[in-house]
Amino acid sequence: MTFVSNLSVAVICSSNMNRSMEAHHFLAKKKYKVRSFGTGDKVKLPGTAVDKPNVFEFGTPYSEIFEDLAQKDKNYYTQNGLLHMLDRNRRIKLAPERFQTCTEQFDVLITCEERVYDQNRESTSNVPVHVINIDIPDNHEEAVAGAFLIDDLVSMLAATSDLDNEIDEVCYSFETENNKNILHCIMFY
Amino acid sequence: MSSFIPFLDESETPFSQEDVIRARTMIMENLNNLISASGSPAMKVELITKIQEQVLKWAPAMKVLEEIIDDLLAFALDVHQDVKKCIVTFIEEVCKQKIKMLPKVIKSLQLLLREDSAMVIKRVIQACGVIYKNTLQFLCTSDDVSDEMHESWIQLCFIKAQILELIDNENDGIRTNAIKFLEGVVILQSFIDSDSLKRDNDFSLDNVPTTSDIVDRKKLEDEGKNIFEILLKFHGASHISSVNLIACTGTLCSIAKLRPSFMAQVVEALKVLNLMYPPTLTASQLSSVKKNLKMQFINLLKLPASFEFRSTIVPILVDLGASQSEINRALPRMDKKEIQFRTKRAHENEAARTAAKKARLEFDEKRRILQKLTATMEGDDDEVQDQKNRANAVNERFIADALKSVELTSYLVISSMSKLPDRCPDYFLKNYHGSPTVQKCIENISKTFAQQLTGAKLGPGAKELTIDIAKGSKIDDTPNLSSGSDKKDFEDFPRDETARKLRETLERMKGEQPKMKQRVKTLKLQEISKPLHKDLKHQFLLDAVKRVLKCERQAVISGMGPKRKKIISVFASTFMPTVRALIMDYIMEDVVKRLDLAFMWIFEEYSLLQGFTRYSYVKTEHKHDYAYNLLLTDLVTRILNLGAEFRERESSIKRIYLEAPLITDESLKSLVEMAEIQELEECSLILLKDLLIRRPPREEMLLMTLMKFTVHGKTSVREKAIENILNVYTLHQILTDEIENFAIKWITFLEKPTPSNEMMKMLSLIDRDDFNDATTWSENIVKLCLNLLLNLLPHNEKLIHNLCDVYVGTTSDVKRIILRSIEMPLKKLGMESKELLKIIETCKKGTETIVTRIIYVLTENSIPTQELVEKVKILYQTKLNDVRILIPIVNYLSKKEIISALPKFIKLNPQLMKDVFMRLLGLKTDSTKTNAALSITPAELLVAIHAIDTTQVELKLIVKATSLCLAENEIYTHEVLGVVMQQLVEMTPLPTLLMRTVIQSLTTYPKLAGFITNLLQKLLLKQVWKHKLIWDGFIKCCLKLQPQSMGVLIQLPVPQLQDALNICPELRSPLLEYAREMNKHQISHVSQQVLDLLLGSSSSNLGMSSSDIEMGNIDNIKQEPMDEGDYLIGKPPGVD
Repeated sequence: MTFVSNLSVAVICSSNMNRSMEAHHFLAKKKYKVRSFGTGDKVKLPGTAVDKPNVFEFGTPYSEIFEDLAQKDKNYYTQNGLLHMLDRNRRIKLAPERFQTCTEQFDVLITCEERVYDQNRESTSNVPVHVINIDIPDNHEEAVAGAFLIDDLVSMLAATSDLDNEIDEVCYSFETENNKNILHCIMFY
Repeated sequence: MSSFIPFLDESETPFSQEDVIRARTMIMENLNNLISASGSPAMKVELITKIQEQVLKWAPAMKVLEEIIDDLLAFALDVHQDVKKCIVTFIEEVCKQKIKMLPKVIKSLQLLLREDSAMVIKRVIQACGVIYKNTLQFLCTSDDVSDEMHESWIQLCFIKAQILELIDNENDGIRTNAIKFLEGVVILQSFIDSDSLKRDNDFSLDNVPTTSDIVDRKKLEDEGKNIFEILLKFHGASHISSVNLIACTGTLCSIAKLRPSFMAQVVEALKVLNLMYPPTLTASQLSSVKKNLKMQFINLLKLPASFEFRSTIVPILVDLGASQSEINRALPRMDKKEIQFRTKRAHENEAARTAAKKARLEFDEKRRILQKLTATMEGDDDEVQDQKNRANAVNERFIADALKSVELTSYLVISSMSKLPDRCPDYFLKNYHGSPTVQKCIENISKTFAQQLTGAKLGPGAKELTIDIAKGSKIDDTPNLSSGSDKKDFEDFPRDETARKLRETLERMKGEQPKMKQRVKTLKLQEISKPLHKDLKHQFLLDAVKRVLKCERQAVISGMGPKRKKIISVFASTFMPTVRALIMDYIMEDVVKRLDLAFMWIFEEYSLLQGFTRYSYVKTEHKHDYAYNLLLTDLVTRILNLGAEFRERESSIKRIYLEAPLITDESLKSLVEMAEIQELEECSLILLKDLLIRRPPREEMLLMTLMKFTVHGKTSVREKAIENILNVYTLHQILTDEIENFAIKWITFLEKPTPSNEMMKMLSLIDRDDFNDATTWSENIVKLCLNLLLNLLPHNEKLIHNLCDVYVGTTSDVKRIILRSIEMPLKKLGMESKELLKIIETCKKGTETIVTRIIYVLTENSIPTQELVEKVKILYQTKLNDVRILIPIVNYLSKKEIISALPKFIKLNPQLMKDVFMRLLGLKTDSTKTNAALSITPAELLVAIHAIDTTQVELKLIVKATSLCLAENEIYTHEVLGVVMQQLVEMTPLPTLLMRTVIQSLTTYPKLAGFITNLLQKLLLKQVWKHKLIWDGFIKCCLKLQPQSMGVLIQLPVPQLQDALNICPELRSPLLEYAREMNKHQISHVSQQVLDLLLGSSSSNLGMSSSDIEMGNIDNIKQEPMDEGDYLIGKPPGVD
């Protein structure tokens, strides 16, 4: 597998289902070095009622979740698009991953909501990582639009010759071009 | 290969020698591959990583490490940064596992830190964090430290110093990494206390043995504190970037977490940050920084160690937008006992701090008293003087240093201000000269002060005074005092007072900085002053600006012109609209002179727009380019509305447009509007062109704008626009495709039966009467459409194809206009044009008329080239069998071709026919007047006309043609006609018009009579009577030609003579007369019958014979062969 850029990116949302996977799909198609994660305790998917969400452990394969939901109410979950999404996800990777358990180091972490961005970890080494937050509401349409934005941003980041030195400008021009506010900070692994 | 050095740790070798050998073989193989691998850095990286894995992950291979390390480290000199980075990783990993290898790798590390590539430097800094910690740990735990290791430690300390310098590096990423590294150093080089966050593998000064002779605990601690200070300073810098700021805040908080002894300073630093964020941050960066700050504060709050700072932190958190529940959640749970303990400790700390200060104060005081005492004990005058001088020198230096502090100096001045007398004392005026430089000034003041201090036995110089000198000698006596320094402000109040003040101040300087700050702050301006009324404030502001504006001359004289302009431009771009208007008015007062100022303003706005300059005052209510835009358009419109001369206005506007860093859409709009103003249209269009050439990013847009003017309703605008477009097209040769496409687009509009709406919409910019009728193609509209293309045509002949293609589809009216207007461009193209020849050659259906026109235009007034002639001929023969296209080149056809086309020429309408003949006769064009190259002589032509078959062409037309020729009596002289007639007579059968021509010739040239008589004679031999028409003519001719013709008539055979006399009885008497006058010899040739006939006897067989003739005549005409060769036989005798 050859990548268009050496930049390694992690896209992170809460359940590693919709927003991060949409972006993962999009970026992987463009041959970026990308992985996706969730940061929640569990993978939560809407159920047939508000008080009855479907909860899975991280690491449960997408196909298992797919089967489970299909068995519960195939019609309903087809209509709300969940099955379609799971079907797409299982073609991308095996199972939802939790960011906290990942040991790989990335150049850029892109988070999809402020709650995720705010989660901080104790740093143990002095390798810096850029954390950028783009707020994306958790629904299908916004996830698609968000994937475009993320792709935009990643391509801008990948085009830099010295990311650390140019990220300020990139963030600024991204914000002005897309008229979208982002948060950016630097953290250490 | 480097020599094998056995490991220091020989103790742990649980694996066999075999394993080692196996490992060595594998590693060597990879190493050899690596060394021979040329080029591809990716390959090298892969191999290095592989070797690293093998060496470090597999115990037996560790043995080989020393053998190969030098060879591997050689790659630190590789050209590619990825390889270098990989080597750094290798070094880091080695040091993690075997810190004893440090002496081997330290040199490479140093080398790599001096790299150019920021990536490598960053990687080295990261690695150094681990290496530094491991090394320190090793030095403190190991009993056996080699000299080599000691040496490496010193090197490592150098590296540390280098990295410390890197926090001022220009690369953001390097700074970030350096900060993080320093964080590690501070944590390592400070003490843990009970509140420290416990971390695995933590290392602190507590772990450093006090006895170590390599590392000095005290030194490390001091260094740690220093570095922490540097970090604090860096954190507080106003120019810090957002990434650095976030990183630095994080670093400070980590330090506070792990080493709570720094907590107070960290909280203070963060507090200051929240009060005053760096002005360079953008809005979004600011929100990131604030968010980060809030998070860090919450994290700090979670620490038990932050207990005593809660009162500081909580309000800040509220200010940063944290909810109460968030704060409560963050507060650590403590039981009552702990709270009590902590409160107590907080008080203790507070008390300790104050106590420390007090102690220091007392200590100083004691020392001073002691010195005083000792000083009084001894007394020696010389010694005293000597000491005094020394003390003076020391004090002077001390004060000079102290005066460098602005804070102190201003405090001194302000506090003594109240002591100044109402009136300036005379001696002050007399002695005060002012000081040329600040340095000089400080020197003077320190000198005066030093003497006073020494007098009062104060300051560091007091140490020198072991003997009391003060007693008798009053300070006033020191001569220096009156020697004149600007310290005379103090002169007026008592010396003691001065000394006391100074002493107090200096004491504060020494130990009680914070206290002094408080004292300074006591002057609370806000409490003692009321805010001004808004309008008044505004008025003051305006007045101030006006003053700045007014002082132009003064500023220039003092050399501050540029600075003043800079100030004004900053005012203009950042202050409120009223100030802006004021400055704008000022510029407009004298645009030409103040254009520079306008430009500074423009650039100021531009810097704001682009974010080069960032002010805290952000104009958020409008789009980000609003201000810049407004300025540019304002300038332009106001200059336009000025009453100044046009030239002045023009040049100002030109400068603005050409020199402005950015041309916005709005300013372009004003430029377009300018073109509508009669006097400025040229300027506007030239500007458009210049911008188009000089600003490539916007060239297409500008081109479109300029192009719109090529279809402008006003002729002058249109012409100028086209002139400019042509300039771009031919001279600069940019955007040629776009220009062509535009031209083609416009001519394609012509294909519609009526002007299309789309087109009219584009024309709707213009409101002229000529164009209002949109239902038909008026000449003006058509010309408008053609305009650009026709102008481009001479420069790109290929466009003629497009024109021809369009031409096919147009209505006849439009066609006519096109034909009329292509004349000029075609002439410019000339007949050498390949494309034109191609057009002529291919001549698609529907383009015949335009092709004909092209040929006409090309040949007009010039000799057609051989090639053109060929092309036309081929066209005539193959596609376009219209004789009209031959007309322009008729003179260049061969004789044969002309003759074959002659019948068709004659069939043309009279005007055209005349044209053809004029050409053929060389009368039409200037160049052929030389007659050099007529392919057919006039004589030949006339003969050819006579030879035309009357069955194909009406006789009437041929008659016309001959008359046309004969009318040209300059060409058809009697000689020419002679030749013609000679040839005609010899033709068989005789041409119908023979006699007509003969008679006309005779009428024109009576002197031909003799020649014609001979001809008549010849005709007799050809039995002229057989052709009725010719016979009639013959007789008519004879009638005209008497008496010469009589000799001929008389020779006629009897029936014919009879017929002739019947037709024309008038001939009889002259003939008789002639016969009578004939001499004997002559009469013998005349037959008796003729004579009888003449005398009027027997006319019975007359009718019969005449009918015979008629019959024969008709037959003959019908059978007349049309052999062209026949009438071309040679020249008649007697003609050269």
